Amino acid sequence: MSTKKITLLSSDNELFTVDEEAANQSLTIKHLIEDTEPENGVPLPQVHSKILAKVTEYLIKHANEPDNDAAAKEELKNWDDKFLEKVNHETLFDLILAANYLDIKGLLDLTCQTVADLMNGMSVVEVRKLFNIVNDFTPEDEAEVRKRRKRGTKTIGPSNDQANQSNH
Amino acid sequence: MGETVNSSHVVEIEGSTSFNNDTTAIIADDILMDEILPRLPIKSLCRFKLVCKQWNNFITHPSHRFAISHHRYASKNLSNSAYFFNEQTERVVSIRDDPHHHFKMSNPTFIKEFYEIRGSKKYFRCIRGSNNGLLFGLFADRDIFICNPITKHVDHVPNPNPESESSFYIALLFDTHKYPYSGFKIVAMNNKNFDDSWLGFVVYYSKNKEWRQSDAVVQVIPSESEERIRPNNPIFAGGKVHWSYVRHIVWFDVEKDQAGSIECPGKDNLIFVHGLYCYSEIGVCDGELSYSKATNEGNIEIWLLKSKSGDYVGIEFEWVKIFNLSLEEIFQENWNVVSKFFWTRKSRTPKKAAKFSTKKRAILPLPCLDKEVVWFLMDFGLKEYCRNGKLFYINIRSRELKLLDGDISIPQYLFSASFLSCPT
Repeated sequence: MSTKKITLLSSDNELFTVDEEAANQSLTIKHLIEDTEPENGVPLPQVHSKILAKVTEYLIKHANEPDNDAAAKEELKNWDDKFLEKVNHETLFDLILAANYLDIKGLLDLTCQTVADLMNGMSVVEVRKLFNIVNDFTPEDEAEVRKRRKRGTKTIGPSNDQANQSNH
Repeated sequence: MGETVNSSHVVEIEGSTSFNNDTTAIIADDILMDEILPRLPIKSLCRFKLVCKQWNNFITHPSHRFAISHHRYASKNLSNSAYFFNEQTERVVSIRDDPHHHFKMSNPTFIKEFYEIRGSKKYFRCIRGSNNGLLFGLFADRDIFICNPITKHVDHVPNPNPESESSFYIALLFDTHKYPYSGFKIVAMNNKNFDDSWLGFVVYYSKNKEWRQSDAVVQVIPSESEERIRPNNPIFAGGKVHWSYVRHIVWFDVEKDQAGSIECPGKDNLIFVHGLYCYSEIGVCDGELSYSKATNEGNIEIWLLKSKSGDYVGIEFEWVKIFNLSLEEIFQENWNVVSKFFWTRKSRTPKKAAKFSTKKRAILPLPCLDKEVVWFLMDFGLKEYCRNGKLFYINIRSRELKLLDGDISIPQYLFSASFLSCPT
């Protein structure tokens, strides 16, 4: 395979150069190259250099994914964990947006799973804070949801309905 | 997706030194609903109903798409967890190698209520197995039900042949990875009368809500009273449903509409004790069919069916023995765990205990679900027709033998019917 170089241009006009094979993991970049054949780098006006640096780091590492080598897979997994270890929430969210925009499935999976794992250990208040969501429940609404949650462990929707019907 | 609202949550985290307040990241609702929330376990999702009205609505009334993608994520690590339904305590117990993961689910009232609907409180041998987190069962050999233990949803499937009195064996196919939107299928296998060794199949498609007769047939090779033996619980592996007879495993491939039978591995060492033949069990281990058996030599053998092309034709498949555990050695190394159960004169040393267990056929291997743990049931009572046992497991790497829950004595019919894999 040829090692053609692709240049990516961030929103703040910084240039990043990667192998074509690495760049092609992003379906958006791949299509942009095929469609427009840009000469002065692929313009990515939605991605800041700070985030694009992380994204290219990921693309380069994942350019040659091991197929059957268990040790190599393990190593890549450890790398993934380290990759997001010191990332703050804001950068993590920016990475999700970039992965979504650039259509990089592996990176989207990794970042979304990280957020899900993060949420798993959080309280409702912490989740609201994380996504900057305003609690729009009235105290009565909230009590109702809590009540239903408790009752929900004891009843079943569909079969319960059938039980009621058969009683009529 | 119907539930998606066009607003976005603006992320702005303040008061934390690690965040730069100048920029804000926005997570669009579609990413949140499609990519993040489906990855959360059901317990967390229930908790997060309280986040806001939109989340409550979304989680309480999930779209079909959300339910499917949630299920796909939840069932990714299936092989590491197994559940069995203890009829006596009415609880579903999770069994894993790590004792901290043994937890008891609250009363699975969905099963109980199902039987109350049917006008009976008995649920003898109700659960027949599971596939990809859905349980399925047969009540009184007539009524088929499917239930999702997590959403507690129970579905009924009409009997394929309500006029006929003959019994049938069912299996569930629910492959969300390969066929994410096609719903589930049920295979019913029946031999039209007891003298007939030919088996036929009908398949139920949940998408169309109808049964279709398959052209495939298979002959069960008759051998001493084998035709009277009910096949063990169906196992779905490698695209095929398998039923275990005494010396043969019958398989049926829904996609190819083919059926056949293959011989069980190992030496033939069938012994008839207490009216039961069941010294082997089939299971699914890393997507392949596994076969566990206790041998006359006092070993627990685990075999895997390796298929080159996915077909069981000619030399395209072979049985590979992956474990051969000597009971005597295991007892020797873990004598403190088992010694209290072997108090009779004939079984007071590890060697004697192993011989005793083998000879009396007290040991019943369980389906092999992963390559790290081997499960078996030890029956110390040896009462006729009532085989209750303690559940043990051996960690293959550390060779540690552990007793699952000292208080639980599990009837043999129960474990084989309810050794389930479930998403967490």
